[in-house]
Amino acid sequence: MQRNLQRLTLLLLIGFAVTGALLGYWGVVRAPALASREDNPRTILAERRIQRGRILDRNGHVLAETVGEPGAFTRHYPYPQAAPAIGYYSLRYGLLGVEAAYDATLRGTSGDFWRAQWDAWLQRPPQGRDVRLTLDLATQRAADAALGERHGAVVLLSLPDGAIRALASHPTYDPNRLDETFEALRTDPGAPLLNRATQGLYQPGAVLETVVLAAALEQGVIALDDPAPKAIQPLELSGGRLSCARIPGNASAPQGEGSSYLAAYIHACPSPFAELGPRLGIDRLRETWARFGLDQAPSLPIPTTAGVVGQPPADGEALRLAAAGQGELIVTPLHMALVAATIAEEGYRPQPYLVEAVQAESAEGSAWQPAAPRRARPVLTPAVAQALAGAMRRAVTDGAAQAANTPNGVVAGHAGVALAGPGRYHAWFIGFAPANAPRYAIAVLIEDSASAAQAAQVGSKVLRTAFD
Amino acid sequence: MAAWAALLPRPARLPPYLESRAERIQRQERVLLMLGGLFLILNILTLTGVRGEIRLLEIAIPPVWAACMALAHFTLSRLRPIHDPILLPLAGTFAGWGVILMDRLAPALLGQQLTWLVVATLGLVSVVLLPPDLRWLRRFRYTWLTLGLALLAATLLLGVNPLGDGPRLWLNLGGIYFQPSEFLKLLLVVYLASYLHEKREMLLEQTDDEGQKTEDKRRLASILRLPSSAPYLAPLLVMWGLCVILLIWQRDLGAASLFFIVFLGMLYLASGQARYLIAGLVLLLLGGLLGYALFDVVRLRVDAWLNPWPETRTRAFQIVQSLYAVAAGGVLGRGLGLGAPTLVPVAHSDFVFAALTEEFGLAGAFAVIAGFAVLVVRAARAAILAHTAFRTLLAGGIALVFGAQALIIMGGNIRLIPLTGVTLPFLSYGGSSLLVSFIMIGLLIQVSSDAA
Repeated sequence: MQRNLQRLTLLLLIGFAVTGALLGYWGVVRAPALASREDNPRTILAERRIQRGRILDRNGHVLAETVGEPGAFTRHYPYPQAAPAIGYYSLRYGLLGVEAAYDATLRGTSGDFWRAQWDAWLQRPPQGRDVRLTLDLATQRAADAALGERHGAVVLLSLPDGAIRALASHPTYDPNRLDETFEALRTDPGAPLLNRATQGLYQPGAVLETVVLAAALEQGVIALDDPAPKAIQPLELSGGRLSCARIPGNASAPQGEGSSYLAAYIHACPSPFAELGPRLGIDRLRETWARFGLDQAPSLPIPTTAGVVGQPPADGEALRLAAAGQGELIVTPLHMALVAATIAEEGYRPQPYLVEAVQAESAEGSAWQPAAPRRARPVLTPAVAQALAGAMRRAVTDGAAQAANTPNGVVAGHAGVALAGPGRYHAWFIGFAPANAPRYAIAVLIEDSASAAQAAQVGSKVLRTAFD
Repeated sequence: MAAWAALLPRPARLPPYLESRAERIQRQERVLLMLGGLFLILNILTLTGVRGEIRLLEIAIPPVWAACMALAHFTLSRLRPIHDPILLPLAGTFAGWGVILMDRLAPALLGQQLTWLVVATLGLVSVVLLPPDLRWLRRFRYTWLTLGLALLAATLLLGVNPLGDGPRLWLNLGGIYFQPSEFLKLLLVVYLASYLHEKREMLLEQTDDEGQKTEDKRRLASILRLPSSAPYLAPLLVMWGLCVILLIWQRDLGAASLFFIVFLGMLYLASGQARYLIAGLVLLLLGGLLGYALFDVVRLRVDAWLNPWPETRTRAFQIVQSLYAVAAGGVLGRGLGLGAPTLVPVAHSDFVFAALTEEFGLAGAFAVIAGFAVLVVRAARAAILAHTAFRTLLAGGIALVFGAQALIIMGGNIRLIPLTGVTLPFLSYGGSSLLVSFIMIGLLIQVSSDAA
């Protein structure tokens, strides 16, 4: 029986060895693959143990914070309407915006290597680091209040650096309730998940006149005082017509033939600028779009989109449409805010940014690492930019953007409408303030509104709050 | 201890040449027990530290454990001065580890498990108090058989499940749930050892040469091979068939396959006929296929074993969660109290091995595997050194039970074989299992005292 017993024992020992080998396979070889499977509940549990850093506005107001007990942490957004600027953090639907772009910082995993090893050894979840945005909560509130229930977007930049002070997109969503509402949000025809300010592509329409005028002035094709052809003639388009955004009873409104380009501009008359299209030519127009950066996606931690330039128009009619902002070019409100900033900054286009500083270490009161400043790029000669700035000031005092005028009279801007589809108009306003020494630039877009004055009014409200 | 010593029967006087050996054995056992105790205390400290609170029952674990082990150690030293000094510390440390795992995984059951540890220790001590020749065990084999069948019948008729739904494998004895299949396992081993031994003795009566084991084996084998061996084999087959049918009836697949493997192993042990093993494995495979065709529970387990990945949230949930726990453990583990082993369903019983691997890592899991390997080897050693064939068959059968049961549940946890619900001896929650395991350790210690 001894032999039999030895054989049986050997058989059992082989069984133990095979068990050990398979255990090593699951525990070492396949461990990373198993750990990263989305149905592994440990991923979520580990996530709930991390005290994620806060996201603050420039004055230290909390925009996003982690609340609760370790193991049951949840993300809380005290001001949910800032979602377009911040994004969201969801265990089910992932990360977006600053939450995604600064995930490593917020989780605290990109700190000191040895400390990370030590924490990992002790099973200590990393302590998140805070991120401070350029956003100004008061201004952001004003932008949200000014837009109200209307669909649209507001982008407010600080000058000369291009820091984003407010970024509103309506309708928006509540990131605190994302998990419960995501499916409804995704299928909502109002597209609340779309960030209209940086990703919404819109027909620029009359508000593109600033860009076209800049190109024409720089090339010496026209001067501001030159008489504009067909000054008050409406522009007939398939699906609707565009005419001057004139204010009734305004003495300086263009009266017919002989009115100047300046008068046409301040009242956002489309036809004279359409006529500039063939005179400038397709190459010049495209080169102008490119110089203003309309064909590029501004680099921000939140998702942005490049303007769509489209194919070069083949004939004069297409060129006319392109110069009137009714061609294939579509842009985001952020692009237009940068156009306003370029004029305000005497031809230099600032690079927008959203994150002001990140905490150097994950400790209370730790030092802040400021974001590296990015240099503005020259776009226009100062003379042309100044001429346009003057024209924009006139548009507010005497023209279509009068609604943007403030009691202390410092806003410069341009308001107009765009034909977005058959019978559908969007209202635009771009501007800056104060007119003589600009500190803020703005772009406002209101969907389904044919009233340029309405956009100007929203812009004025937001600018006024920014000054206070 | 002095009072206890007065109650104990007078130990047999050792011949002088064995005295130093007895002392060495006593010392070795004491050192090993202390190492085990140290391991448990470190774990309690870790758990208390991680939880940041002191629990009375938790603090009670080391003293209760120490008292149990001291009692067993003292009794063994007095009554069986020569015995295998590894068995008690190994079983004791595993059982203590099991209690700590209950504390970690299902704190509500800690008190029960700790009580069962005391009961199990008393069981072990009782076995050692009984006459060392184990003749009583051999003599009353039909009593054991009848008892086993009665238990099974009782389970069939009166069985309950403490959790409500599920297989009704327990008997309710005044609020204490008790799992007859655990005892049945022990009774099966005793009965088989006795029966095979008797057939062997019958054989020995016909031959003059008692000492030649190879001869024995050959003769026994020839008897089993001949058609005339059928009458001898028939009771065995009936016994087996009854067990298996009843167990399949109750859907207790783990116990059914364990019984069958132990039956095959002991038959091979006695006969040396590999064809029994092969035929038996073919039968097992056929049984598995039949079960797959007939029973949902078998189909579910086999499907989840073959390819769990498409159904990780439904039918293969358990096994996939078990693998996740193993993967989360890595080499050194997450640390006691720091993992998430309670994500695995029934982590404290069927999946205690996966839960242990998550927090103690491959290091801890390999320690468990090595512990069972050592247990099997020591049991086999005791079997080889045993004085009588009955004792050899008994110890060999116990080695098979421990080895096969550990392999079935560990292999099931890591997708080596389809998952079946048996306990991991000593470590899983379950009083019946712990008590029977300790009784088996007691029997092994009895057999190991033959080495004197």
